[in-house]
Amino acid sequence: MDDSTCTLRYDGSFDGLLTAVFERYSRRINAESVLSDKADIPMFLDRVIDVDTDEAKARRVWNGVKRIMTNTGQKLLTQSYLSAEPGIDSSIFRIIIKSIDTERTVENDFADPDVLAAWHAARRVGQERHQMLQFLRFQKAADGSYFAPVEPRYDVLPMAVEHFANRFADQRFLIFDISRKYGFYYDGNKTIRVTLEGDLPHLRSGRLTEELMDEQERLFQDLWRTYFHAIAIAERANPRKQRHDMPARYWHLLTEMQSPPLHTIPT
Amino acid sequence: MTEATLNKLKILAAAAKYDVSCSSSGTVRANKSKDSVGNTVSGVGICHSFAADGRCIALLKVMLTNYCAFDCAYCINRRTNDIPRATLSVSELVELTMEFYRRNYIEGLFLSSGIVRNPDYTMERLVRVAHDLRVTHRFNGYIHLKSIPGASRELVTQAGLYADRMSVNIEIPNENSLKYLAPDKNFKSIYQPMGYVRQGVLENKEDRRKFRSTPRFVPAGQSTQIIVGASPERDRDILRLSSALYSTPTLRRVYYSGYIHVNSYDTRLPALKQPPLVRENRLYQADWLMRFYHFKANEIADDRFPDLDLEIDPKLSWALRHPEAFPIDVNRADYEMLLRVPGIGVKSATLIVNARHYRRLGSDHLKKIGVVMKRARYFITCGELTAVCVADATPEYVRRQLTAPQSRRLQSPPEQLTLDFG
Repeated sequence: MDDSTCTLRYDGSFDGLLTAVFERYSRRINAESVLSDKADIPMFLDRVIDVDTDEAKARRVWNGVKRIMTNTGQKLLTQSYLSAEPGIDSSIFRIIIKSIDTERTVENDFADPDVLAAWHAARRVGQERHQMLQFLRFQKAADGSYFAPVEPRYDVLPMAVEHFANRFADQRFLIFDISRKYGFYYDGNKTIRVTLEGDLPHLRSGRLTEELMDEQERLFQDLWRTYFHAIAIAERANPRKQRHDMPARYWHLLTEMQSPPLHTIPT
Repeated sequence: MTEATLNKLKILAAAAKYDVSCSSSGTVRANKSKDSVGNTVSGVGICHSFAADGRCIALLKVMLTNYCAFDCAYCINRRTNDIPRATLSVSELVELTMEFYRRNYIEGLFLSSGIVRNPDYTMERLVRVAHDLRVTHRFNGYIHLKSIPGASRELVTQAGLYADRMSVNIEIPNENSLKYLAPDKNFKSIYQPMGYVRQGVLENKEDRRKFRSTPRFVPAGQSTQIIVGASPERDRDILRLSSALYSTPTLRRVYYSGYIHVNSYDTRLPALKQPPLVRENRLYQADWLMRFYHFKANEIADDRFPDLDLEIDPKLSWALRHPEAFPIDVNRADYEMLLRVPGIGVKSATLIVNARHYRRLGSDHLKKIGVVMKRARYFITCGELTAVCVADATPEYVRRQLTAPQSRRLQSPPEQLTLDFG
């Protein structure tokens, strides 16, 4: 191998990223960055070497990471990876390499641009997950199960579903990511990943249609909206803070932010 | 559950809205069974929504009834007010809580009540709601119950078995002012239930040491609330009281509620056009300094400076009063000292302490870590920085620099400063 640096191209998976680390050492490639084959190819790129994802190699690298980095550091890598931000994979790549080369975790070196980038990305992902716990709203369906649409910026549903399965252990529910077109169904025992085919209107709009709804669902939505408006203190109106803490991109799926329905409330 | 419930909920939520406690934190409890519902999570709790006033909605904050036998001058629900009154039945409230919880609207229930007949009668009904939720409906989410001032020890202890958190509001930080504004209350009626809960928690701790399976008693501790601006107490007095409360073993949070002039006919109260929001915010900042920044109450406000500066935050205010403590070397100073620097918070102080194991930190690094250099630069050195230090440039200069260009809204002096309490 000559001295010029090159870029490793992998298939975009986390295992692929770890395989790239493996190949860098085993084939003595002087690589400082990686490139997902799903990303746009930059205009100037001198040398690209393709890497075939290999689970066994990835596991060996991950075991090495586990030996050097703390749990927090490992979580930093996996969670920032989920952000799928351009360049974050190269940051993760370099963090692993630096930790391996120095035999010491660099996860706390916040003056290092890669660590800082990963840290910020991980925080955004964590925040997205937390906002899912905050702003997800279930609607009760006629068959007694519950349905919630979500539309997170990052693919955080798999990180959040455990929380709901624990919390609502005795109720069947479906949480569906309407932009990524998959969801999790909890049947009262276990959660299963589902992708629903066909053109079900509530999977597109996020709202159960009248005939699919539990007969009391409307009433409880109205009660919640009533409560939401009654609890605010007019003298302290602060729309800026409201929008800051509850970003507007969640509003279209929030029960309380829908204007009250015109129909009369069943008695 | 009918339209009538809807109206009741409207009245009773509006009646409860002046109680500012909102937290759903302080206890972690997983849901261990497949036929119960609810858990409580670690960290800061979960806020499910934010109302138009920007305050979070974590719990269903509601009163069981807003009929009240007391006649407290500052309270919207006082006996002599001619307002719509309502009472929710125990079963209605339990159903509301369960249905809201199952839709992920709330973390649990925060139940309060006006005082009907007598304190014990009222307390007993609160306990019944909590009992039904926990036992009949196997509800494992968060429950915050008010201890009714003057309630008996037996009832408070029973409530503590079901509740995660309990609270009694002090409301007025001085006993004479309290008696003046709330003739039915005195400090004893407030501190007594607080004491019952504290004793309960301590005994429970002892019991749990012997038998691990003993159920926990008020695991998220107690909180209280102080109304700001309804009585003439200075910030110094309020912070002293808070600090004394925080030194007791179970009190976790003191909330400050800027007084809203709800009973404008009552001349015992100052006529405020606007609630004192800036002062309230400064008190919260001071509270944070005491809880997370290792400040003592008398460092924040003392007899020389009995009120918090409304123009600048209490930490900057402290730093400007103590120029001799600066500059601080970020590459050497210990964590405690870093926390005292305006522009460095708990998070950035932690990052600095970690990051400097690897290399010396320069101003560029600090900026990226999240230090607000605009403020911090007058108070730190990091080897290369050339900005003037507060000790040389004088506190007045730094103050001007940090307040002048920021915005126009700070220039008109906030109104609640000039109050006449007669």
